[in-house]
Amino acid sequence: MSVRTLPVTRGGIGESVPRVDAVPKAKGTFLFASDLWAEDMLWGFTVRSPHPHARIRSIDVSGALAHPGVRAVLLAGDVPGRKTYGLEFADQPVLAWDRVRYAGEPVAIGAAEDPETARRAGERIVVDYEVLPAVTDMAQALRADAPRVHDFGNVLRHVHIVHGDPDAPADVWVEGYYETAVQDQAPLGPEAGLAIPAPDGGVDLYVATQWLHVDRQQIAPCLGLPAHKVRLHLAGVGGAFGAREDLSMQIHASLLALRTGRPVKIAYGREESFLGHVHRHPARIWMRHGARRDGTLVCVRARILVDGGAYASSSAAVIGNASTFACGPYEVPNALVDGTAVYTHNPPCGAMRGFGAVQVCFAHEAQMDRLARALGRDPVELRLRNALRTSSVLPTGQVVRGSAPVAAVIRRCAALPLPPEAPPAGRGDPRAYPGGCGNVSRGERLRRGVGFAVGYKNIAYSEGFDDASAARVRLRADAAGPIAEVRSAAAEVGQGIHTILAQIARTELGVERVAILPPDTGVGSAGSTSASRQTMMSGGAVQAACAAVREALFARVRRSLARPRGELRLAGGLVLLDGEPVGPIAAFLDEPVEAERVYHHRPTRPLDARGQGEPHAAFAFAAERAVVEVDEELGLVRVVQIAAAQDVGRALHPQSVQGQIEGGTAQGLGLALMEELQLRDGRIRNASFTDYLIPTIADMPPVVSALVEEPEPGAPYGAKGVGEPATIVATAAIVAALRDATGRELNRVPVRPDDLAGLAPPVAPVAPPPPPPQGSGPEPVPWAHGLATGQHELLQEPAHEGAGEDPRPWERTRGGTGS
Amino acid sequence: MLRLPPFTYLAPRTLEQAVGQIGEAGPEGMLVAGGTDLYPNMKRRQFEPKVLVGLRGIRDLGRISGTPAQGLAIGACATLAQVASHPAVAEGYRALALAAGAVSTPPLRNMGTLGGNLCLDTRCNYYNQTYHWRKSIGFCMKKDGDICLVAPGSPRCWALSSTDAAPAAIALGARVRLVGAGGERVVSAADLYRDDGMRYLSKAPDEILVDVILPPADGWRSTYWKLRRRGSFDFPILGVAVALRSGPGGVIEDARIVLGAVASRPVVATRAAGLVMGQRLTADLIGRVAQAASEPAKPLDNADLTIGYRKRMARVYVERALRELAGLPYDGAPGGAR
Ligand SMILES: Cc1cc2nc3c(=O)[nH]c(=O)nc-3n(C[C@H](O)[C@H](O)[C@H](O)COP(=O)(O)OP(=O)(O)OC[C@H]3O[C@@H](n4cnc5c(N)ncnc54)[C@H](O)[C@@H]3O)c2cc1C
Ligand code: SF4
Repeated sequence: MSVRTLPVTRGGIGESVPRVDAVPKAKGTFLFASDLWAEDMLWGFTVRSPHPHARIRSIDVSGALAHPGVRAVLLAGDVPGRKTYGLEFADQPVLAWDRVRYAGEPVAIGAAEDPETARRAGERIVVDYEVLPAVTDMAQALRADAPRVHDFGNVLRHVHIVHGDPDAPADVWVEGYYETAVQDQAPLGPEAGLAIPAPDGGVDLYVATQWLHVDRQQIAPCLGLPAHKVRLHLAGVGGAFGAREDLSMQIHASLLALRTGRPVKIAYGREESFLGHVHRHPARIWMRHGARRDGTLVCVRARILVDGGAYASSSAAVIGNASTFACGPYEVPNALVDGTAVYTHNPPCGAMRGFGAVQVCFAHEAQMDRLARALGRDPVELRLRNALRTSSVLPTGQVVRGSAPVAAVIRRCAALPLPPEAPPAGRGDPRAYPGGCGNVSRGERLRRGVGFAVGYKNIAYSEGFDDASAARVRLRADAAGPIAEVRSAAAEVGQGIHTILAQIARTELGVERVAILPPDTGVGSAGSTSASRQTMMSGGAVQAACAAVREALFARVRRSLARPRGELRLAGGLVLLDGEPVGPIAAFLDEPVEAERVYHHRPTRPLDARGQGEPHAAFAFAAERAVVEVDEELGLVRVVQIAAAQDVGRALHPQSVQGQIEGGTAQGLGLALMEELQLRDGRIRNASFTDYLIPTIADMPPVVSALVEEPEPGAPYGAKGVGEPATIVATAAIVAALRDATGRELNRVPVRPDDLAGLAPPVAPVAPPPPPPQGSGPEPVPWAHGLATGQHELLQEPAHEGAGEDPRPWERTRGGTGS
Repeated sequence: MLRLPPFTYLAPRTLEQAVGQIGEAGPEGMLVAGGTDLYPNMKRRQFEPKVLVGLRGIRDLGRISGTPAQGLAIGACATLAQVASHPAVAEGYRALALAAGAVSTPPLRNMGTLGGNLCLDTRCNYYNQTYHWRKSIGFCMKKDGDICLVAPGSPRCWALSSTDAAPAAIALGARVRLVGAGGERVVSAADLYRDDGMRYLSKAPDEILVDVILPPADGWRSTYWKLRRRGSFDFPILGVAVALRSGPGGVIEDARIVLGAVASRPVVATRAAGLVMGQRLTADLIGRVAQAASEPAKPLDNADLTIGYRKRMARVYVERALRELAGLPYDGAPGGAR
């Protein structure tokens, strides 16, 4: 009897295949945006405001223009189209004209023959400023007498959520105040791009970004060009983490290229990168938790304040997330949440990995530990008792419909093996002790602590926003056999989406050769590479396009076969009929087969005036347990181990999932222990990697992880996004472990050595929680002022080129979602 | 992108050539060894020399010769990686090996030299910034301006000596050989430094540091402790070097305690060291010495972490370093004796 081997397709989903970009990245041959180069190219430069708030009296560019080698200097008056732009609201000037609202705001741009000439030309531009009083404290921004950042005031959005009876009585109450500092995404690749003027009067822009189409949506109106004349191409992205959701140099380089008729490259240095992208919102959070004696949560009251800085960016969505996730992944029958995002004259804040959930997780998990202490209960058990599940009702009234294995995530995490006990003092590797690389410890005076945190977040966009993803798949054959070509505008930012898309195409089409075509705006929008969404969204689009291609191919197969009945399948390069090969796929590909599909997630609904709605499409949950050692006298910390369990739906590439958990944990560890963009009077004091500290490999503990796979209905293969949850919980877990080790309150991150050595008391609120601002919410304030733009407009656009301008597109978007 | 300003690079093969070239360049010229300090500073326009005289091509400057018994001479261009891993340094001059090994990261230790480390520019939060940043906030007197932003009203600059090797070299009683147009001279490592954030070296700008001469190591034990937040990269927030020579019965015959990153020069804690002379190290004595050693440390708000913390750590670090050398456990240590 002969053994029949079933044809299989190698490199499909579920396998940790080598990444498509692994070899060039490891070898250093991968070109990042800052490596871009074109014949005859000019170097752009940006002149930025040194003041957080000032009136521009005059700008003298004559000195720069007279400088040999300078080809153009442009001011706000040279912007041919719309003067402002923004991801959600067009409140940010392309170039400031009358006022600057943060230190670092672009005032003038120029282009010169070489970088040194560009730098000198920038120095020769003289801006006469009248310095104005600035508001750089988020609580002060809400006061009536505060300087106004925008004419319409300093409230950006207020979210008010009332659930059940917020006055419900509870047996035990705990109360706390928490602060989180400004964190930076610190992508290793600074902002860069190259704009090349095109013969049709348009421009081709090669840029490192997270969402090509939303960039174009903001760029084209400012250039005064129709969208189809602005073609964006993805350049090599050196990390994003939210920093590339907003525009940086895109409009500037395009303006200069169009003006000079020559390619213009703008590449920020490290300091300019810190000035040129948004940051994680700093937050102040007051929370009160009430529970029954048995540990059941009764009520949560939260007041959240976040500083959005000078321009809106995605602050409205961030405060939406912070408010809707404020109660944590727990069943909370009664809640009152008031979240306010304010404008200040600080540098703008926007998207960063975790997007509002990080700040509140730090607070709600500290509260859960407090509650456990007050009740004399085990903190893990307390979390299990209150864990969300499928069919739970959230404070917004939303019913959790997808998978929600919170209890499983908590149990799996708690069951992961603990690290070995610390070796006796003097015996261990000195480098394994806190500050050990500095030769400061032999393991004496160490206290070990263990902390636990659970958190969650939405996947994909929320509050009525239908952020669809398009993809085109073409199956053809050449001499080497069948090959699938995947065309998607999804931005590969280092997370591995290109590898995932190739795996999906292999699984769906049974071919091993897959070409991922360069992402550009020549195909429909893939939506943003953010909100942990691309695997679900663009993965879903590619899966659907492949299915359409497959059906078309099967139609061909059936036409050419004598016995057309039976089940057709593709695997290992073969067409199978009821499991029997009927021929190579290539044999049916005299003509290529092509299909384009758009994937939509489950519709969501915006919040109403009481914060009720169905704001989120799907959720991902994570738990981490941190083990730390603290040298109490030095206040130095060594994180010994992180145990992580994450709800991933299904791991399409297990190694990448683990990579996301480890990288996400590193970023959470950074916020827990060292990462803080220090602002003084609105100015960044540490815009360098010497002074803005991010964890190194010497600071990272081993991460042991468990993947909880409970498929998400409606998502491709049940896969959930995995990029953010680890970042959300790592900070909270590490600080919980530090509290356990030291017994200190530690209510602000990053925790400093001073705090751990007992030299600094816990932070106290400067004032009581500010009352909710009058007359605003849940609509973002800039919305009411007709500033909506960017991603909202994109929804009105057909998947292809040539969309016209819609005068008030947001009205339709909003109107269409409430019914 | 930060770019270097234009300059002419000279690569002399001999010390004589180098002395001639740096003399000829005058105030427009600067010496460079590994460049790991100077080049980043040039990119930020802290220095804009027109001529750089590179020392790495001079063979003799890379040598390490001698033995712990006779004394050691380390060429100024020996890399920090070489110094950290050299058996003779590790055996007789442990503080220096530890200090060199604690500088920054492996790639920087492969490029950075001992001479460059000893001549490292002083540092300050208001100074180690890009040109744009310094211009935004207003220049300070160390470069382009005329006031001190940390201590307004101060007639001097308080930028911090941040070299890891200097406290160790001073504690070990090292001397340095300087060669300039006027000839050669040997000065103690301690005398190489001045208490001035701007003119922090006592040598003339055209004098070349040729080698570091370490005395015979007999009877000396030493250590170096470095405070930084991360396990790698960071400049010291505090450095403590301690060297002790003990005689029969553990009586301390000589002692040097030196603090780095607390002032514009390494601070030699003479009074504290005096307390241990002729004594045996006990827990109680160590506590008093540590207190005395930390007194001269007067940190200002121009480095990472708070003044109060840095000041407190000076005492803790001296205490721990002495305990290490005395073979004592730290107080309250769960692990007990080593
Ligand atoms: C990210 C980063 C982290 C760092 N961390 C640390 C740290 O933790 N600890 C620390 O001590 N340093 C640190 N440094 C500074 C620097 O790397 C080291 O001090 C290094 O040893 C400098 O040596 P070099 O040969 O590269 O000096 P260079 O940059 O070549 O020179 C430094 C200065 O010394 C002068 N000089 C050099 N050689 C001689 C000579 N033979 N005679 C006379 N003058 C000379 C130069 O003119 C210049 O002024 C760090 C630097 C960076 C960029
Ligand atoms: S101590 Fe004062 S003068 Fe010296 S670098 Fe700092 S701010 Fe400038």
